[in-house]
Amino acid sequence: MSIAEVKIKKIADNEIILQQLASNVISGNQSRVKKEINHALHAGIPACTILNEGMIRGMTVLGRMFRDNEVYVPQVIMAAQAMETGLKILKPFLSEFHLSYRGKVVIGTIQYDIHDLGKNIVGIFLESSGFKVLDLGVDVPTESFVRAVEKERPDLLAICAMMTTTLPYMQEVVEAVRSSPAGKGVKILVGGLPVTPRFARTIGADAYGVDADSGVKQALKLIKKGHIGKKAQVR
Amino acid sequence: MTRWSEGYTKFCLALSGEPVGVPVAAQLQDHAMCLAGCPADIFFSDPEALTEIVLLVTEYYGFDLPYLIWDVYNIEAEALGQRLKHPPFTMPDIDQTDPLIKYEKDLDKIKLIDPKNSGRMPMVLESYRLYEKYTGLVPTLQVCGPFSLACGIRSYIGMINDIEKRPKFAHELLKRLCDDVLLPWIRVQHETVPQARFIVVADAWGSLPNVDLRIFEEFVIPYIERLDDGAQQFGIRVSGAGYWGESCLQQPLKLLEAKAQISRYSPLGLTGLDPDVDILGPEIFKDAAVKYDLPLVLGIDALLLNNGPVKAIIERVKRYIKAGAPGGRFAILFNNIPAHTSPRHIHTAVEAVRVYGKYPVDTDLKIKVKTPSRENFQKFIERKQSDNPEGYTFSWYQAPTVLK
Repeated sequence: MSIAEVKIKKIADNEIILQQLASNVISGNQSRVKKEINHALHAGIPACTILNEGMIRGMTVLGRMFRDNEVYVPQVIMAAQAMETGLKILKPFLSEFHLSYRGKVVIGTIQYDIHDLGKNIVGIFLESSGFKVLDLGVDVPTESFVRAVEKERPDLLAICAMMTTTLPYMQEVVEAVRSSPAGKGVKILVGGLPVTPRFARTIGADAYGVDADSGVKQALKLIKKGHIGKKAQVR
Repeated sequence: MTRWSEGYTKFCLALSGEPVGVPVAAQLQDHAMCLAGCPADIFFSDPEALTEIVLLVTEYYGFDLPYLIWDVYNIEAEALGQRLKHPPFTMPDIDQTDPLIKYEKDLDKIKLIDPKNSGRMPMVLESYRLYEKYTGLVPTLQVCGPFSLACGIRSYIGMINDIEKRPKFAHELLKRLCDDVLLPWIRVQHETVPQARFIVVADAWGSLPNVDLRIFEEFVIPYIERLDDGAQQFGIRVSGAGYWGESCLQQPLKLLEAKAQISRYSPLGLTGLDPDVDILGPEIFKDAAVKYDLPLVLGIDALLLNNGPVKAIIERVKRYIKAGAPGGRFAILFNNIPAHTSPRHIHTAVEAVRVYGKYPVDTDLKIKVKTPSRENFQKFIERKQSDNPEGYTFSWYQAPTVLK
């Protein structure tokens, strides 16, 4: 076998490993994900390639399947757990840049609203799109959002609400973050069942996502516009 | 005869296929609480406040039948010791970050409860009594569904993990909830209201996309049937309710068939809720109801009612009546009206049902609906206080909220 043939075979073998990893992420098989990542590392595949072309590829396919109703929330939860298991193994081999090359997101559900499912799904897909996600949880008071923005200096703040009664607090957060020194440049994405594009515009949010898929698309759009992501590259 | 007798008859005739008009009811607890200016901690714990406010707001809008409902997903969980959070202006909710059942050994926390002395179960029983006293009607009995209760005390993510990794444990949890909690609770409810022939089991966590069809068939339906088997022995049938998600399926009829199976003991029959009805069209729901020989209730989108515009609300009502009303056995439900919804939107929506829902239904439905002119809720309450044939206590009364 010539050197060229050996190289081609190696590329093909690696592609098979990465495809298997992606498919195990999609099926949420934690033990197989663990096994495939160790296999990939032993095969000499760089950690960032394993992350991007194995795990994130799997989550990207899963995101499309979720959008198209081919899978449902339970499959997303299982895949996210498989992804988390995989990331634990990969982390020592990855730089901060690889884990957050799109930028940093602070996400939370608004005060007096304890719905976390939608917020968790958006967080899962943002993370698997290359964002570093800091989840503040549910029932997050305005001052906690402001403090997190001051401390973490995120590129994007994602605020979720599930009830019409909590919408005024969304406006309060946007105003408070905008008036804090650290919050001037931060982009704000809002979403959740009662949020409308009109409401998002009225309160001064930069983008609005009707569901997880559109939330991630909006976040990526903000990057493409050059609003964010640059900071992540120089960190 | 009470003021509700006519509406009750209208519902009965409509659902039995001899309609005089399309009846309309609403799930309106958050909105009623807000309109009456009653703090959430009083509204969701004081049976007089809950019952009187729901009845008064139902009368104010002219709905045909009052639908008395509380935070139905919390009562049993709270009685077992699950922690709730209490936002100031909306219903309490289970704190999913702190589930009662954290480990398998915690199953022992599920014990036979005494419904007459546990949590807010006495409030539910007293609300039934007051409903009967004020309306002369039999209240609709309600409990939380086994799957939703499991998601409450185990957390939704915990339950999904159990289903995928420890299915035996998930089944054991559901069995224990049915046998040790829900059936004794249903028995006590039935003893309190012995005329009731069915009980609604609210189980929205078991909807798509929270679950897939496999989970629905293996972990949701069998436990509704288990409850029905148990409840039959003391003379009451169980009807699963609150499921949505047909629009998540390539073949929505599969879910409609399953829903028809578990809701067949409710006189309300098959229910279709927005956004599914809007996305798929009301015709598929009507066809399914006819196929399974059940009445049909179509639910109008809460956010549409909240956000408007009134023109879109009128169009939605018209569209659903046009598809659902022919042949009768049809009613309209306003799904969970949001707290701050404009009364103008609700008055207009009710008016649209009155105008378009006359039998025989005019298939053209060309008549225009206008927003009716109504007194505001504060004036209505003042009038009711001076002319109070029901004998409401108004013990909860403060200044009502003025919603425009």
